[in-house]
Amino acid sequence: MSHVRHAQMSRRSVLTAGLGAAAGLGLAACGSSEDPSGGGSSSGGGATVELTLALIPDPPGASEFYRAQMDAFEAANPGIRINIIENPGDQQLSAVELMFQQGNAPDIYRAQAAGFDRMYSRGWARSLEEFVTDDFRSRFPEGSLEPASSGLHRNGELYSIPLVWGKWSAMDLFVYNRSLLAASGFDAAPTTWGELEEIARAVTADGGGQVFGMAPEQASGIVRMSRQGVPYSIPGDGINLMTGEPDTANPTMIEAVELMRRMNAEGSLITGWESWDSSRSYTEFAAGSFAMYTAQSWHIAEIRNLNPDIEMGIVAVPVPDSGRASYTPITQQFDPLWSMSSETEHPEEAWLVLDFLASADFYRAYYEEFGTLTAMQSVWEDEIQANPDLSEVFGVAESTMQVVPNPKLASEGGATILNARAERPELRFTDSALESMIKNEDFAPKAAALDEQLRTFLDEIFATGDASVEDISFPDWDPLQPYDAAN
Amino acid sequence: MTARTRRTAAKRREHLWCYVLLLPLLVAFGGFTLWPIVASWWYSLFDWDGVGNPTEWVGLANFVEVLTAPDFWRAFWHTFLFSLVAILIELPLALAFAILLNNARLRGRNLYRLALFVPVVTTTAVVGIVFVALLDPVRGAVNEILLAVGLVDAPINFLGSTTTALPTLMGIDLWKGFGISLIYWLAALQTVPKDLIEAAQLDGARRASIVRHIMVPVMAPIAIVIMLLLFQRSLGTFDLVQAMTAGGPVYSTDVVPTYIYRYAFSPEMQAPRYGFACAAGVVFGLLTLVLTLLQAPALRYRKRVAV
Amino acid sequence: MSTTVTSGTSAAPADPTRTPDGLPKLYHGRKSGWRWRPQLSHLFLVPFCLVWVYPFIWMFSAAFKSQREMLLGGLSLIPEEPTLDNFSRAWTTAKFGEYTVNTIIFTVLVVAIVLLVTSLAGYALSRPGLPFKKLIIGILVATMFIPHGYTIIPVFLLVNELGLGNSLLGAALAQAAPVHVVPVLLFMGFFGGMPSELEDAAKVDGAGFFRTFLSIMLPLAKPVIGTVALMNFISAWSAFFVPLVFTLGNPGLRTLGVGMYNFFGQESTDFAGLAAGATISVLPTIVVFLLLQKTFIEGIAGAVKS
Repeated sequence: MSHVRHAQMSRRSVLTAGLGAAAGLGLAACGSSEDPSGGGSSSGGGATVELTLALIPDPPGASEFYRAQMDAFEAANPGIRINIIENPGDQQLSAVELMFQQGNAPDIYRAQAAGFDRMYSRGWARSLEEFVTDDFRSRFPEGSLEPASSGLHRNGELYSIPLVWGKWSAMDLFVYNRSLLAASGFDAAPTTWGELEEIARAVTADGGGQVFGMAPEQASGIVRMSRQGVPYSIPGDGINLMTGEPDTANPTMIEAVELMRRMNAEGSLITGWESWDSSRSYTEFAAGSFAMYTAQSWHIAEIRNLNPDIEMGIVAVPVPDSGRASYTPITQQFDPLWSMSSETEHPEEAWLVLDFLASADFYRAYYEEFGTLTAMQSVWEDEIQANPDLSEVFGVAESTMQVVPNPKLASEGGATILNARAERPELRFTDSALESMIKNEDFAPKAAALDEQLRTFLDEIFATGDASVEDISFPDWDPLQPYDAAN
Repeated sequence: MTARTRRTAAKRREHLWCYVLLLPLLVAFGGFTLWPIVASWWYSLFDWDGVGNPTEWVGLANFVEVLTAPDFWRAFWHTFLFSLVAILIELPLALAFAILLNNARLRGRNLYRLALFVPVVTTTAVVGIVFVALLDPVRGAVNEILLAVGLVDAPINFLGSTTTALPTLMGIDLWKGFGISLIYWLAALQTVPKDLIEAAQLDGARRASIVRHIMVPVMAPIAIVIMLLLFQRSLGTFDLVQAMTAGGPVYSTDVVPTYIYRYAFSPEMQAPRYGFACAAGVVFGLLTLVLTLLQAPALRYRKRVAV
Repeated sequence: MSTTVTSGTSAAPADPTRTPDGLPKLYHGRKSGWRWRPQLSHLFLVPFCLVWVYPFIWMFSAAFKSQREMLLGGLSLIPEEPTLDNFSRAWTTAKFGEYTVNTIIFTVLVVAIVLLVTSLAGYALSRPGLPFKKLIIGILVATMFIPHGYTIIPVFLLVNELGLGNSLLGAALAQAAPVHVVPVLLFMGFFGGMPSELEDAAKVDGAGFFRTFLSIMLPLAKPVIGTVALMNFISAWSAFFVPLVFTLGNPGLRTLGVGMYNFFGQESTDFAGLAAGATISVLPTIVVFLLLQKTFIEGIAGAVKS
């Protein structure tokens, strides 16, 4: 019923609706998509092969960047022409699905996270296994392309290639405005939730209604805060992977929500955040409207672009007053991003493009253009010392992220449970947490009610015999230690 | 006798022609309106996420769930409020402006009409984006002005508070649709026969009695049509809510169309519940039909005066 | 542009109790002796309309601001460094030129389909004594109140089945189909109100049913045609959802409403560019409204009158 990003995306949510509608269409027409006219938009025969690449032109300026890169590719591969189709991020998936349905599927497309899984489940992604070379493998760290943990494999075969550094896409960061903190008498970032509350209160008081302590980032802010104190699966799915039990009412989880609720009631959170979309937090931070927030990694470059002189500090997310009890999870090595269409008529040529998109040259160019840590660590590892922002980001990632158990990869039953759980978004804590914050209501009773529903949900699945509690419990796991799946 | 049969034959031929002319409408209507509606009734009997063909028959379970879902009724209540605002506020307000702008001696009438009409022709998504920026509590123009004038001493969190978000959306919805009502009323004013009024005035009729005996009877049937059109528009309020709040915060602005969309299409739903959404749509359709029929007395009145 | 709406009012006598429209004045202070003058309403209308269109003024000014000025705020309506970059970006990078052409095609198709289908049907339904007439009208009106946004999936499948999935015609069909009811009623009302002598005369002249319609009735229906055309022009031009579903997967067919969203990158918003695009897309409707508003009002008036 609801989701973390809902309110964040509000401004664009007509799009979201459109995207959803199109997604629905995708599903609906799945059965009828064996249109014989399907296939790439390629010209067929002749000397020139025309390939369609459907991408998202992000970050700003990427339109020109991708065109230039593809021009370079064309120059190096005479006989191949790349036709680029651009879609906004929240429409890309729908657009690509519509292209498949209408019989003009792209040859290569960008599909991430759950979007990639959707494409895969419809059979619209082509296995890349037959093309992979040793040279390709050697570009990535030893062992990172293991089917069980790469994130790029499905059913043991490679289906996707990454764009950004795996940790970059999943990490939790805390950014703060040094000058605002200093103006209120603080010379260091908060390291605990208690300090955070205190600093936010002080900055807000000094701000006179113009400057605020913090922006909460909707419910995802709570997710980033809470997973420093409880196993990541609790804010994620409501399940404690140490016990296999519903645990939304975990005291630390409740503490995190109550902290945000108190801060909101006191006015320490910037007013109006309830209806912000996802770009507002970094633009307002760059504008100096508030002092601290739990940022996403790609925000850093955007903030610098908007305000090159801002005195920004980048640190780890504050931990509970009782100390760190968990880490930001690493559930897979990479995030899938580029895939080849199952309907392409020119798989060989399409692979050349994918190979190019996974080349050191491309990764380096992307890093140099946008300051993003790309999937090939070796091309930027030595250079980030020159960039204070990025070295701080790198430091945070290295010190606050750990490998965790991933039930989806660990067993079929685990995947069954988590996939079924994903189809019941109303079981997530986010709606109740936001309600607590906005209406200033106790979170504990809501959490208890959620746990009861989760209990029922789990029992129903266990009753089918497809999965058991063992699939979601990892009693040996110490959330303060890296998890060894092989163990 | 032969003349009569000839007349009947001519009538029949004419009716045949009529049906030929009706054919395009019937085909388009059947294919693009009726069939999709019937199809959605069928889908509503399945637990179907939209993949392939619906197979999991659940009978009326979706309907039971809709009818017992407090969220659905909350959304329905909000939708109903949108209609009330449209009929109780927008309708009379637009009439007042129409009377003002119908005055031929008023210079620049067309400019005023244009000004009031522009919101109608603007894509709702753009309207939403602009208003979100204007209404922002931090540096949004509206709050800056209110603060500067001294009307408020703290910025109003128009869209972020569960108490103000719905009225704010209703206000913007009124702003957006006002031009249409205005045009309808202007048209209605055009239908008042001038000669009748002149004659009455020559007879020394008082203004009040002219309004009562000439203008009201002439305009009433049109007023009812305008009301129905407005009612229908307000029930469909979707784009604006979706663009500005997506039903939030905490569902305080959720209307039935956004409710349905969330289940049918939300990209955040891993598996859309298309069958359930269809059931909600069917229930909503029946409810609006009942509400419309409640206005039947008004329709009958229209028929009576129109004859 | 003329400031009068109806012809023949210019001869209205200078009776101070009446407006030139012949309507009794609704505002006049009989008791106080103070008399309302229409020009006084400017005192109210000017500020009111300025507030009313403020969002547009704000949007137009944003279209001339730099992206940076836009993102980092600034309330001023006058751009610090006015720039046309946003427009050129909208026109070239975001292909608004192409989208404008598509939007014109789409809109014309929608208007043509609606006019064709509804004028024929309206005429047929205006004939007295047609069997099933009430039933047909009843069903048409009833479905008007059934929400059908969520029925887009069956519609989409149908259009694809018809092989129109990759064309603006398919999108136009989907857009045009649900808006038939009101225009049909308008045409029906208009034709129903025509004096039957007209038709009898045509029959005497030997004109057949269809020819009577085509050469006599239809030309007379200009006000309704204008009204229906304008109504559908406006809704088709600013339509978003249907064109989105039908042209999103086909960049070459995108309309302005859909194309506007090319300005949205993955996680950032080009506000100034969007404002420029919105300005481009709103201007034609303003022009059309200015040109057609007189016909529009008269058309609706004529239709409801009868």
